[in-house]
Amino acid sequence: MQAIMKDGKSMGSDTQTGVSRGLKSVLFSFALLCTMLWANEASAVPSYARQTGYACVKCHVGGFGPQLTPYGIKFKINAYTESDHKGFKLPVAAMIMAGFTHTETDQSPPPTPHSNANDNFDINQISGFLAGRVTDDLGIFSQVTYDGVGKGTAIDNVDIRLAHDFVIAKTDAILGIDVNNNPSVSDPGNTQPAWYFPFIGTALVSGTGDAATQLNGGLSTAVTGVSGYAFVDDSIYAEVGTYRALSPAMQIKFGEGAGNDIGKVDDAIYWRLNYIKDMNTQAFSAGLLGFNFSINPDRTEGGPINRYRDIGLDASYLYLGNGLHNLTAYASYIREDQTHTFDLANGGADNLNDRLYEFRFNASYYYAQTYGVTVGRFSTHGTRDATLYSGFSANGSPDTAGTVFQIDWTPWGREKSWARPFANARLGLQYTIYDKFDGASSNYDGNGRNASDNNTLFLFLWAAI
Amino acid sequence: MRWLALSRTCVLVLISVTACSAQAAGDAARGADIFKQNCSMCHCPEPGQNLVGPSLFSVVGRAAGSLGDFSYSSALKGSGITWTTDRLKAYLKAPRKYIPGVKMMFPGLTDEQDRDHVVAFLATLSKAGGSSATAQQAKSGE
Repeated sequence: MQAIMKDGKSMGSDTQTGVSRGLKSVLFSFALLCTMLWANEASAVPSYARQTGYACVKCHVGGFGPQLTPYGIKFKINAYTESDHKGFKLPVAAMIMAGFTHTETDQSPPPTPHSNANDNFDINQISGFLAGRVTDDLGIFSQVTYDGVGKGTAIDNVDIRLAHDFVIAKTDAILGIDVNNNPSVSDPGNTQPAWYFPFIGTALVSGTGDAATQLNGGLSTAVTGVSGYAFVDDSIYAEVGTYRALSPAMQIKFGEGAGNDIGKVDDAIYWRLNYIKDMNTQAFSAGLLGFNFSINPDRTEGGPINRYRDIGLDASYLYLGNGLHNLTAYASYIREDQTHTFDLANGGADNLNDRLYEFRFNASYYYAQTYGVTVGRFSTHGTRDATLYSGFSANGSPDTAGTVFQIDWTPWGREKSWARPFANARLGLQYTIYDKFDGASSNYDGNGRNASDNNTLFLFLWAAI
Repeated sequence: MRWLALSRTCVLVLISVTACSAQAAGDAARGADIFKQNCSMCHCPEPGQNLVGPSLFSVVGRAAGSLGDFSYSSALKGSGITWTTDRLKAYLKAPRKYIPGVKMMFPGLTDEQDRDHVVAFLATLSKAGGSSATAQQAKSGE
C-alpha cells in the first residue's frame, strides 16, 4: 500500500524520526560526498552558473528552475562538466522555497500537526546542493533537503554522471554512466515525473492527488540506480539501467523515517529512448520510457511480490527565438500495469491486477526571460480497488484531475542581471482547480468534502544562491 | 538601339550579381549582432579572453585547436584543419557533424546568410581587421 501512495514515505511523517537525527544523517552524508569530491579532484567547481560563467537563461527557460533549454539538456548529458576553467569555485549552492497557501475550504483536520486549517505560511523546503564538475568527464548534482512542512531532513535527488565524447562511425556519440536515486531523475528534459511541471507547489495539499505511478515518486530516494546512456549524433538519447532498494538502515540514515521501508526491489529495468532535435532557436523531442520491477514489501525470501510495469510516451516543443519570447509545451502519458500478489495475500488489495494512467500537459510563455505564464493540465485515473485506495478514496477510485495556472516573475536570471550569478529568485502565484480529487468530484472522502474544496491559491517565493 | 538595350541589360545583370556576391560575403555589422545573440556567452571576440569556448580573435587563418591557454577536445586538436572562411561556414552549420567529438554543444546556425554574416564578422577580428568597435559591440554584456 505504501508503495502506491505518492509521497507516502514523506520526510518527517514518522514521529520517531526527529529533526536532529535526520540532520545528523544528512550532515554525515553531505560530508561524505564532499570528502569524495575533494579527494578526487582539487579543481572541482561550484554551482553550474559560476562554473560556466553562463547566465541562468543559457540553460533554463525563464532563467530559473529545472525547466531546461536544449543547451541545458546537453549540459546535463555531458555530466555537468562544462567549465570556463577560471580557477576554483566552491561546488555548493543553496535554495529556499516559501509560500502562502489558501484552500477554498478549510481542511479538517489541518494538513499537518503544525498547520492551521487554512491560510498557512510555510517554508516549504530549504536545500543544500553539492553540484558541479569534478573532472573533465565526471560531474555531480546532489541535493539535501529540509522539509519545512514535515519537519525532517533527507537526501533529495542525486545524479552523478560520467560521460565522454566518442566518434563512432564518423558520428558524434556521448557515452555515459549515471548513478542516481530516483527513477527518471537522470532524464535530461521536463517530460518525466522527477522534473515536470509544476516545479513548485504547496506541500499542504496533495497536488495531483494521492495515487501515482511508481515512476512518479514511488521509489524516489529509497533506491540506488545505475544506468548507461548514449547521446548519438546530437539527437538520439538512449538509456538503460537498473535499481536496488536501499537497506532499511540506509533509508533511515538518509532521512526516510523508520517504518517507511519500501521493501526489496528486484528485476528492475529502466529504459528511455528520446529523439531531441535542437534547431538553435527552437527544439522538439519525442520519446518513450519504460520501468519494470517487482517489490517484496516485507523482504521475505521467496514470499509473494507485487509487480509494476510502467510505459510512457512524451513530447515537447520549445521556441526560444532571440530570447524575447519563449514558448514551451510538454506532454507525457504513463500507463502502469500492477500485479498485487503480495497485497492480495495480505489484505492490501481487492484485485490481482490494476491499472493506472497518468497524463500531464503544460504550456508556458515567458517574456524577456522574466515574466512567465504557465497552464498545466493533470489527470490520473485507473481501475477501482476499494482496499488498495482505502487510505484516501471513499469510492475506491484513484482518479484525480485538474488544471494549474501560474504566473511568475524572475528578475535576475539574465546576462546583465544584478549580482549574477549569486542572486536568483522567482516570485509566483499559482492556482490549482480540481475537477476530481481522490476518486470523485463530490464527497470524495465520504465526509462531504468535494474536489473543488481543495482548489488552492499558492503565493510563493523561490530563491537560490 | 538594340545594342543599347543589351548593354543596359548586361549592366543590370552585373549589378544584381555584384549585390548577390556582397550578400554572400556577409555583412560584418549584422554578423556582430548574430554573434552577440548566439556566440558571445561562450566566446569572446577580444584577444586572450577565453570563456567556456576559446577567444575568437584572429580565428580566420588560425590552426584549429591551437590556442595554448585553452583546453580543446582531442577531436578538434586532431582535426588538422586551418580555419578559412569557408571552413568556418561549414563548421557553423552543424559543428558536431563537421567535426564529430568537439566540445562545442551549439547546434549550428541553420540560416546560410546568418553564417555568412557571422563569418564576415569573425574575419574582422584581427590586428589587420582593426574592428575593435564592432568587437566591442558583439561582446557580451556591453
